[in-house]
Amino acid sequence: MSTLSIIIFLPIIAALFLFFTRPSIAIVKTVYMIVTLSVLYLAVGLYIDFDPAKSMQFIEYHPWISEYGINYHVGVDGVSLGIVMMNAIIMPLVTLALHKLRDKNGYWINLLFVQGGIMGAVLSLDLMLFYLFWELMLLPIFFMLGLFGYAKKNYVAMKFNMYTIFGSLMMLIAILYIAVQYKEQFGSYSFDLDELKKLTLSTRESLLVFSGFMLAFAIKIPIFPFHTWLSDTYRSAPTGIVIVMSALMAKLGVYAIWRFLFTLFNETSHAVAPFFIGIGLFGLIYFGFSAMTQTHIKRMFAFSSASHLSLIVVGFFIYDVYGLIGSSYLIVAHALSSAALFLMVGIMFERTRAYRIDDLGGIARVAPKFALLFVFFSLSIVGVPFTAGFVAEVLIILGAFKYNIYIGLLTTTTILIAMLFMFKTVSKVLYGELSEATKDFKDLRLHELVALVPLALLILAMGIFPNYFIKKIEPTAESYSQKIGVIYND
Amino acid sequence: MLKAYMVLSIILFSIGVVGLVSRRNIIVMYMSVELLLNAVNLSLIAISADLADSSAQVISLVIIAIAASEAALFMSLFVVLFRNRASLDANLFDMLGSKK
Repeated sequence: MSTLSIIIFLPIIAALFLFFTRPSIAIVKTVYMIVTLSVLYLAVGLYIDFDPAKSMQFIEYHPWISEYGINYHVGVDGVSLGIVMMNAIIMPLVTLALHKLRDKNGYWINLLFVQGGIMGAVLSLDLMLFYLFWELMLLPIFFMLGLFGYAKKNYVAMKFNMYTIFGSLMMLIAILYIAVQYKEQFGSYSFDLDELKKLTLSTRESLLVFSGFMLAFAIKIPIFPFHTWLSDTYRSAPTGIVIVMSALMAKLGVYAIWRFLFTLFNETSHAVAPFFIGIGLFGLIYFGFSAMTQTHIKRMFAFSSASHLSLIVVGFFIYDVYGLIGSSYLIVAHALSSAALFLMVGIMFERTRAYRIDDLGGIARVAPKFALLFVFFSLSIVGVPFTAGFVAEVLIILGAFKYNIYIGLLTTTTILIAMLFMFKTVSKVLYGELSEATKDFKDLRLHELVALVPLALLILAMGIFPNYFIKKIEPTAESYSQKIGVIYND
Repeated sequence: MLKAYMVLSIILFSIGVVGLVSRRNIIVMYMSVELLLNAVNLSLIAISADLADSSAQVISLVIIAIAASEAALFMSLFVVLFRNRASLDANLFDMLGSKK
């Protein structure tokens, strides 16, 4: 077993072990902490050993159901390395901030399980393996929504589940279809990404298969017409699962577009790119304005997340080196800051029992440390210089200007819109008169600071020394853009 | 010949879907689910005989085995549900779908 397999299976095996042995809550929390910290240790080792010059590394290949071409095939490259790192960083910090609030075994066991599922989906290079982990990741989210959620949680859990399973099934049909096509062209089944690249499909076929995949990813992200599950689910979900959904699961959807659709159907993706740029830009502005009108703070952050995810989708679909690097960078930057903000919203709810923005106010006066960090993470979401968000957004906007000047101008509005909804929320929550709910607000305790300060430092480091982080992504992006160049010259 | 089998399979499947959607008794709904499974089994076997490829027949055997174990599981669930509400009306067990 090498590093990648341990990163994937250690959390899953630990979760199963805890589920069947039913130990006391203290032991569960300790095991959770040990497992997530060892995953973090392994991931940091992976980051240091990662050789930026090569694209796909640490490849593991074991035969599994070889008769049907299904094999255990995992590997990591520049873009997936970012997601692995932020998954490994965020998970232990979530516990640190929440471990005094949550005393149910299921909460921590499900979080461990979801971590393993996400790691597996990010790293797998075999379509069947990917599908397996993609579904594995959904199950704990469903249980956590139903068991630990707030207001009309059962309805929301069921709606979310049916929505995402519908998308996944469309993806399964598409996967099976291309495997059968591969058999007709090459004589044997294969689900391997490297093998399926050789496949030639007619324009109509590849468009249909593309839509099957895209439906699954669009629902998970969510991009514009598939967002109706979003606000209710975020509102009802417990803090741990909101962080998983906004920081990790949604990013996985965007990453999967790049990893699978751009690799398998490069020409089709390129042909439909203007359509998705349009949807992305519309979503960016629409979700931004929706965020401005929300009165519930979690819903507001849900729409703010969706707005930035649309920006990431635009960054991928403008088919440019800058756009690709910027989007990969924004995946990590936005994950870190939105995880921190949702964590702080969770902490705020535990103290005030109020979610409506109008019920809050004046927190800066009683809790300066909380206010400082809250403003800092909001600034990073907006994309103010010296934060990671700035670097990423500038790169995407550069790419968009190279694509087309009008697209570039529209993409620039993201900073403006994000500023409007973020500053409106910050001013209402942190400033103004103290309300009934906030007058006894306690400032951040030590364990909460220990969880939030590393995230803040990381965002600062990513904003001031972007080169150190970008050099790991750049070669992957460049080798990829050479492939695109072939299409541009056609 | 394949066509006749497929038509039968589609008819069985449709009956199953209608039964699942329209009836509210849990046991009848379970029977409809079994009908769906068997419709799929029938089409799998017919296609496999038509293509002279035995792998689909193996799969249908696996499906039968799974359906048998599922039946045992469902029966025990029905007993638990009946003890709870003294009825097997599916409308009484809509906790996951209600907006409350």
